Amino acid sequence: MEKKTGYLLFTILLLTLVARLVLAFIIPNFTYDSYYNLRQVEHITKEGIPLYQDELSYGGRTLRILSFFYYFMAFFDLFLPLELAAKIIPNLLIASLTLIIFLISKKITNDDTASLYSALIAGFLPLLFSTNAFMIETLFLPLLFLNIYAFLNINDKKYVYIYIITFLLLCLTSSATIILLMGFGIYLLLLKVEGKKICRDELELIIFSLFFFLWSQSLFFKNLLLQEGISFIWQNVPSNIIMQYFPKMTLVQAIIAVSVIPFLAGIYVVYRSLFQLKNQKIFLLISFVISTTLLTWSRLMEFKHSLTFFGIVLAILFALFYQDSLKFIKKTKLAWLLNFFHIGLIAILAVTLLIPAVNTGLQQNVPVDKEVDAFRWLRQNTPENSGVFALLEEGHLITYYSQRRNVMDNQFALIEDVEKRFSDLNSLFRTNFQTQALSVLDKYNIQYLVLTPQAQRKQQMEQFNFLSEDCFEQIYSQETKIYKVKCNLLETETE
Amino acid sequence: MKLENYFNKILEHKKLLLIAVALAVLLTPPIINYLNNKPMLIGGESYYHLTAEPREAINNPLIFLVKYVPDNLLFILPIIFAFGTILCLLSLIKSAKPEFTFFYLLILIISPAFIYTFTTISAYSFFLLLFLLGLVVLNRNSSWKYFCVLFFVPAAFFDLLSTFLMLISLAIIFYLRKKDKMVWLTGAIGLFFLTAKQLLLKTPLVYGPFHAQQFFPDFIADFGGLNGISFFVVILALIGILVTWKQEGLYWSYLFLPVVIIATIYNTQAVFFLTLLTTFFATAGLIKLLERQWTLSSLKKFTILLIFLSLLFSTISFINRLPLSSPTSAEQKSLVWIYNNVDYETVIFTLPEDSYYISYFTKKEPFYKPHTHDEHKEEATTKILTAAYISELFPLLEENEIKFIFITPKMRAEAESLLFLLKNERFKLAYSTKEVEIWMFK
Repeated sequence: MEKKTGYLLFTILLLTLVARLVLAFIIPNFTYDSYYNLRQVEHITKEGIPLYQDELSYGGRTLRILSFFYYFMAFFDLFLPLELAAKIIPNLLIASLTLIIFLISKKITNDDTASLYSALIAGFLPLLFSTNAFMIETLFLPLLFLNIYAFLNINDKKYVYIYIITFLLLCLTSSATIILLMGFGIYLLLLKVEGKKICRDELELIIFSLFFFLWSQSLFFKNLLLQEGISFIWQNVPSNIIMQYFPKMTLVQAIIAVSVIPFLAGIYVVYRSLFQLKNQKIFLLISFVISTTLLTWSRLMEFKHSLTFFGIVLAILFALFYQDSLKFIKKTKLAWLLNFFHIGLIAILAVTLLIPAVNTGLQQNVPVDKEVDAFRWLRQNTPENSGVFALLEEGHLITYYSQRRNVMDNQFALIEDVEKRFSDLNSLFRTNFQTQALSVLDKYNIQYLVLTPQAQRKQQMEQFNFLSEDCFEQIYSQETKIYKVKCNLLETETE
Repeated sequence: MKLENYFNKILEHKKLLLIAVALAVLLTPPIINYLNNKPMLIGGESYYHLTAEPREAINNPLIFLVKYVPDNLLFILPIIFAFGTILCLLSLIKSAKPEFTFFYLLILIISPAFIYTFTTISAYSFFLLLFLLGLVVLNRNSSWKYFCVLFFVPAAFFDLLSTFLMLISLAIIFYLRKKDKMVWLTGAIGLFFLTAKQLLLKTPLVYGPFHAQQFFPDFIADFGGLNGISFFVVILALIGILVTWKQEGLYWSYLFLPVVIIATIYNTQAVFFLTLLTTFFATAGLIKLLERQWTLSSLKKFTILLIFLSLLFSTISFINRLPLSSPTSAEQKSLVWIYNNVDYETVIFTLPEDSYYISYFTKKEPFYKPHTHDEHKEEATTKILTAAYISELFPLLEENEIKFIFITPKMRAEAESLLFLLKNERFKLAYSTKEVEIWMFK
């Protein structure tokens, strides 16, 4: 790599990191889902092991998780305050994707400039700009693409070891590693169909990966498999909210999410690679895209994760498009345009990437400070074994800030009555009848109700319809309201 | 030590090792049952055989055999069948490569379907033993080979699937030995016999089911079934099919594949035959991986270790679940209470898979046995289990003359609404121990 390229790459990395960190610190708090992960890391820091028996979530439940991400973050928790580390490290990891994407693009095209553009696109991909999301994906994605880079270089022995190590870490980080295995399967199929020779080293690594993944997942999720059978892979998501995980996004929305230019470039490159060039390395990338599509179609993977992966692959494929475009322009009478090509391209990318990326960052779904204050207040002013009712997505705020039992949160695995719980949760927001409300509250042993502005917006209500002074006392009244339950239903005795 | 040297050492003592493994996996379930004060036999099919009518023996010779074995020694019978089967297989496939014989038998012995079939009173265990004994005798060069008929004839009196598979196997064997007349004779006899069994004896296509079927758990044991194949064996089998599909001598194995797959989809009881075939392909896949020269030999060793760990994982996971299987000691105690305290004829309602324990321990009639395929009773069972109101439940109980409801922990999880309705005054809790309850319907 030339020095100039190195400086430019470092600049892209720095720009990406700075943009992400600015957004991360401007926007208060974390996304709702992040608080579950924060609790896991806290528990490891205190107890040395992840939280497998959670007394607060769902009023008490067992968790089965892959814990490498939590241990990784717990390491930083030793030196930095957790909430600071949780903002810096994930953004640093996602920013490191620019380096990895540069390396992959360089491997495929052997063109520094083209690879720099790929890195730039990957750095400012709108879908990746959830800067306040403390999620496993922030480690998973860089590891995944590092693993792919190692696979592309397995002729060099040191990369075999890098592949093995990253693959092991992937298996311990997320079950979404299945993307790789499915991708490999489709890759072998494509090679077979095209009559290309399958490299022995690649085949051996794929066989090893397949068995290691299956064995490791079986070991960690044995009880889940036994209890829920094959349906565990659909994560026990209640049917009423499954559309949130698999939304009907329009094509326009999807294109904006991955950015227009990479999308169009990607289509051109895929067509050329599949039907004309038959480039084996591109086959591999296309295979991964097909595998994520299949996983999303069968509802084994959330749509947004599939789109994220797709977007990153498009960023890599853009390097090929750039090369082909340059070659084409040089051949035409418009060769003089090359002088303005880079400026024009950067301008277009800035508009189509930067604005949607910043927009995504600013529109992250995070609790506001006043809502967090209310949950903190609960911790200081309610008995330790209290149960608290709130929105589904606020379930982790109850367990993290309030340290109290919740009714429900979005960790649905191994919960037997998840559909009934979700139905009961919703009924409390809608019912006008105090008896019905008290019946549900008694059932889940709930002593406090929380109504945040977020809940009011989502449920389109000002307050609970069943409230009465006899049975509900408002004990906190800011923008968020907290009510204490004073009554319960008594069972009448029958002779 | 090189991997090959390791395996050569193992192959020298393969018989001993296989017998030791078989002893370990087959004796563990009865020992666990004994230590947990459970009945030594598990599985609905075991108790079906113990309570079947003698006239049903025409379609299942095992029913005839179990009548002559004392109850407290019945658990030994399937183990005897298992060792007989293993010794027959060792004798029959000694012409194959030693590593193939060893790994085939090893993977088969540790498979959940084999363990379940040969620790319960299972028709297929007896069928397989008879069939293999017939083949062993047939392989004799002397006039002793004609005595194979003594084994093939009773083996032909099981379900239509097993008879069909046996006849196809024999036809293939005769074809490979270039005995064309025998092929035609086998085909003709087979066709006649199958038709006669179906029309005159009303032989079922596949036995059972003796439990509520769920395809994936019953097919892949790792998903919670009490039978089935290890998921890792399926993966190895897929590799095996990919590497062997062009090999001429193995074309015959592909003939059985669609038959047993379709049979398993129709009735998951047939998963035992699918296991035999899948293990064959899995062994081919494993041998290919072992024989292949890998670029990184350490990676090869690690992958082979992973494969064996995975296979062991499935076996241990399966054996771990056996103590939780029915009938438990609490269930047995409850059913014996009915036998001792209810001296009139009555119908007892429970989950279909538990009905066979009711027949055996109470000597009373359960409401519905799955193997009878009685659609009316099956529908009524579903309606009772899911009844949400007494106006739905009471007519069903009265119409079917159900006087007792036997509730196990599994039923508790599956019939929540029914449990709620038991609070009505027409139900009385007659007996309860641990999580098992007997409710009387007045």
